[in-house]
Amino acid sequence: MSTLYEQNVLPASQKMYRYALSILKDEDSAHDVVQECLMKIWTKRSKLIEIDNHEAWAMRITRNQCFDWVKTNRFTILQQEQVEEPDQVKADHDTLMEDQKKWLDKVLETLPPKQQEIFHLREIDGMTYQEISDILSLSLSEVKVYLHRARTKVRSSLQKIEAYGIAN
Amino acid sequence: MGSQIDKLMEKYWAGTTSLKEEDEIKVYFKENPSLAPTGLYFRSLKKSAEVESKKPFSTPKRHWMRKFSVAATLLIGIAVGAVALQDANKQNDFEIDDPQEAYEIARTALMKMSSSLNEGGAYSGELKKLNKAEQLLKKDLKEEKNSEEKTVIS
Repeated sequence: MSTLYEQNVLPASQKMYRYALSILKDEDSAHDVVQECLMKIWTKRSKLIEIDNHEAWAMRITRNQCFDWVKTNRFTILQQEQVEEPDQVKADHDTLMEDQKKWLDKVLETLPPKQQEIFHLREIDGMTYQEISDILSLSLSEVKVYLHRARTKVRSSLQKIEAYGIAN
Repeated sequence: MGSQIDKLMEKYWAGTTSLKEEDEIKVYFKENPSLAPTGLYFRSLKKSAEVESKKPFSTPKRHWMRKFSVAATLLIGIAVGAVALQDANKQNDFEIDDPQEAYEIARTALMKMSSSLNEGGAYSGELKKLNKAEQLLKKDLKEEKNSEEKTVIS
């Protein structure tokens, strides 16, 4: 059982972290949540043998843990956001890439939460439609529709940049 | 952009690509770095997929190891205690439970000690003789010294 944990759950820990980060928008909180999830899964490791897709199961636990965390630490999140909000000027080499990432984050922020999550799970974490539907408890067609809407929004924003050089 | 990638892109925006096809698009833009927004978009997706936690995750295995080390320490403690107890038991082998036997042993020991003291007493007379001889020698030396001083003065 501990082998299943080491083989299928532990390697997904960074994926779980990225997912938690996309929901909580805070590195420390995302780390803490994933750490809690790993402990939770470890204590339930006897059940791993009954689960078909450990990675999707771990992502679902991460999602639930994130929302629990938001419920209990809402005030703290707001405080952290306020602290981290001021411009973090990065004199980095890949400024263009950074700008593009900021643009993408901005576009994603305009999407409804479910579309944001589906976009992240598909585009960043490379999960299948079936896995996403398992994680979010949605039907396959709902997942496809939400993803299509999110991509359409991203595409229209990209077309505006290509045509006029402006975002949104 | 080749016609094949154009077709893939159309499928992508329509939401009908497979994960494999989406990977092909990302690889294409990675190998053909373009500054066009679409190229940057796919590269930024790839970059986002490489984000990792700066702090490592402590695996429960380590907790298990911690428990194991506590258990090992306890085991060593018990082993050391057991050995010490065994040594203590060995010393108890010399204990005498029967009072009569203990009395006999103590009596023999005291007798041995008493005879040794008696042997020492036999030498005490000779020691007295030695003390007397020493006192006589000291007296002679003193007198000799006094007579020498008198001759010097006269």
